[in-house]
Amino acid sequence: MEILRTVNLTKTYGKGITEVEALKETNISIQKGMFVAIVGASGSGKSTLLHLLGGLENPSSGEVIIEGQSLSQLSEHHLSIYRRRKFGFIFQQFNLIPVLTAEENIVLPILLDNKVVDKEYINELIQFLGLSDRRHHLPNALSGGQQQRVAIARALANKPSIIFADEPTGNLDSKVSLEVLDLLRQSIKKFNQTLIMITHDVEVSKFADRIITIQDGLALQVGEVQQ
Amino acid sequence: MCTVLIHSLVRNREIRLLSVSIVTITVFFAFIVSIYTSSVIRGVHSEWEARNVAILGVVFEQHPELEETLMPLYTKNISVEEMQDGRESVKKYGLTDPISHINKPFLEEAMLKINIGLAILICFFLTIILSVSIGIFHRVYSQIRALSYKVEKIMRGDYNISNMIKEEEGDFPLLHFQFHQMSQRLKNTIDLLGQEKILLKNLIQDISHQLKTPLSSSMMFHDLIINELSSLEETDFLIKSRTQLERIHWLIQELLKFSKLESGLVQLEKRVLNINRTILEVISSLDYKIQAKGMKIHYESRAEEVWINHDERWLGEAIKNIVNNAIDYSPSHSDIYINLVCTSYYLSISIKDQGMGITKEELPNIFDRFYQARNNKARGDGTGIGLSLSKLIVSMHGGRMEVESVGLNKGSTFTITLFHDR
Repeated sequence: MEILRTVNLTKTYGKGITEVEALKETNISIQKGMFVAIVGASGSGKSTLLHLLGGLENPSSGEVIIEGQSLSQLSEHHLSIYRRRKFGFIFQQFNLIPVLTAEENIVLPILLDNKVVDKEYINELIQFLGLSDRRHHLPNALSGGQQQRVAIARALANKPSIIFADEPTGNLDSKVSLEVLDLLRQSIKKFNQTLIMITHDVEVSKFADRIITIQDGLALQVGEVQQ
Repeated sequence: MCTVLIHSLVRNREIRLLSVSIVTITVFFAFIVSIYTSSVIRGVHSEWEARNVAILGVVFEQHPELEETLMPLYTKNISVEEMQDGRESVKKYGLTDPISHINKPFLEEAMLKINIGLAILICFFLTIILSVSIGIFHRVYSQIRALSYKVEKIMRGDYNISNMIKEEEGDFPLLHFQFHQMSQRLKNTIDLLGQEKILLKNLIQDISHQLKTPLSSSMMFHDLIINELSSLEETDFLIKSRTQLERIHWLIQELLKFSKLESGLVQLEKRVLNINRTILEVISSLDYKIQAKGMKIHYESRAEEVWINHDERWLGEAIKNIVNNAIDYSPSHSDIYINLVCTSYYLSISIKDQGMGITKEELPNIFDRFYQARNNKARGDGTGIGLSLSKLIVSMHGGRMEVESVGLNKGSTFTITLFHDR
């Protein structure tokens, strides 16, 4: 079942001489429950594509359609609620709130929606990510890897339909990053989620069901991947 | 606590609508009432003034000298003493309380006006409040009806309910959203169960197929023996029959291992051991088979001692299955290379053969249980359970197993990657 589709999606930054075409006409379709890796050199437009798909930026032209709903038809207000409920974001920068403890940071998206916190699931997440003895620490008392794991737990806490990840394992060592990938894979299987991840790591992209290669703003290999 | 409660309630559109309309209607009502009452009071006031002017006119006409004393009293504010003096002087006419004794018809008329006016206004006000509340309750109940319609659909087994409600703040949109989410999860679970059912069906088919072949040949040999053969032939067929029985025995044993590991009946006994020894033991256990085919195994390890946490029996089994496989599918007098690479994060064991290789189409399925058996094209007597058992053991060690092959007849490389404990 298709969950996400783009129609002639483009993004241009600047105007006139300084105009940069970050993303050329892109038409991709992503099936539900898939793990899609976006690979490509630095500055090739990977992050632009991810931001457009996640509704964090508005396209210059074209559309992003998620479950039949065009994101550009939503007002900024509705879009922010849509993102909060449907998407999970993991960035290379952790974007943790410095005055909240690790656990509070993790449950923040649930509290923003006034939902009841699924304590059992949160405990499971915290344990799996090896944060049990760090849950009451403030972010500045955590190592980079631990902060990233908190950010990952926060993205998964709401059990989102689509997880957008921009180099989520960039700051982790290879063992932990494979474990994190395994957690993400388990999570998408258990909750029928879709994972769209930018990565530089060839090992990481091996886990993917599909690889989208971006070169100079052009999505190249859009087909299914054979292991 | 209270602010949190109010905050969570105010996110609901209905609550907001209700509060805003009640406040607006009340303000509007107060405004109308104040205009109405002031107009009535103004009427009373002008009547009263007209009377006073009439009284003053009569007094001035008869006593023009009083004009200077009385006029200021009428225009300026009256002091308390003056009021008391006045009250004392009018007492003898029976006017003790000025208000109760003024039985003037114009005041009664004004009071009646105010009463009727207020009654009509309150009725009007209540009607508006009531219709607004009914409107808002209608919103609430229509959402509940929409939900119950969705429940009906799901009970019928139709999980394709669309989330038509726009993403909004508040409890009803959230309930709709989560309901939608729940139906998706349910559908997913049911799909997975269906897939599992098919897998199980295939597995039973595969197992019975695997058992059927050696069993029927064994039965055939028995039939031949029963048909009175010479003792030499008899021994020959008995040996052949035994081979088939061994095959069944082996298959059942492998299956048992698999299910024991998979169901968690058997726990790995992991210890920190030198993996070089585990690998060398595997090689020596296959020595006879290697020599019979005139093959050679080249084992290369970067270090003498590589310590890692593993269960030597089960991991040995995993490696043995791969090497065994490599021997089976390699031509005689070829070489097998086993390489051990160890870094501070992981170690990898690669097993490279010069055998028939694996086609690109087959690569993704090579670790599926019974895959090979299902697609057996005169490839020896493998059952296709060894590799999937190996993969299971490796993943129980927290490791990964991969296979690479350039193509047919170009050999294949199996790689086991294990990670050091954190």
